[in-house]
Amino acid sequence: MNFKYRKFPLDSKNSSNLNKKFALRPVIQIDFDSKNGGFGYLVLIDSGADYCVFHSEIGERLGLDIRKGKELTFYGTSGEAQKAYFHTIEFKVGGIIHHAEVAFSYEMKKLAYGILGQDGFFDKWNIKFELNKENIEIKEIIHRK
Amino acid sequence: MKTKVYDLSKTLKKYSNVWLALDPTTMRVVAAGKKTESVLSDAKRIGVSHPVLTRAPKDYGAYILSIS
Repeated sequence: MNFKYRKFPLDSKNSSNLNKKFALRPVIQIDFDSKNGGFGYLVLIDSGADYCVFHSEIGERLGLDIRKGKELTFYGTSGEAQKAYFHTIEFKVGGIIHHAEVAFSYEMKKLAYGILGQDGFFDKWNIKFELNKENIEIKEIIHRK
Repeated sequence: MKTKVYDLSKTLKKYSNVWLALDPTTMRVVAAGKKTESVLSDAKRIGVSHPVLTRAPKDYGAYILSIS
């Protein structure tokens, strides 16, 4: 299935190009089902991330007791240690049900989206980034017995 | 499968440090607030049955992410 890159606001003063008005990012919508209709959530496909990490508020909406999950200490480019807690959850990618271990963090307020990383996403889907076409092609990896 | 490009660069710029609920078809902001619970319920109250959550960060900086 194909998804389009999305355009997000960018402070042109904080960019290599003063004329740049937006950032193109491989951000897709994933979906959670629930009795009252569920909700979607925007996530960045990040090949540099070891794990999937979502905002703690999303876990709370899914009814998780966040801190009961296995603790993860993770590091971003600043090198500062941050905490998150793993839970196994279900969500849909383009309508296809996906199960993954996702770490939920209380320290993501500066980020707009959740993160889909290597464990939990890239290990289950083949992803082709085509920035020139503003397209992301995602194919589920079928494990044959 | 034909897909649509969503340009959120102007829509989201008006918001800072809040959660947003977007209409899943138009990607327009239908509710904004500090808590996901109230943002979702506000969106559903006005008839958006499956709102899409995202955060408007305090500043729209460049992203250079890597998590290990």
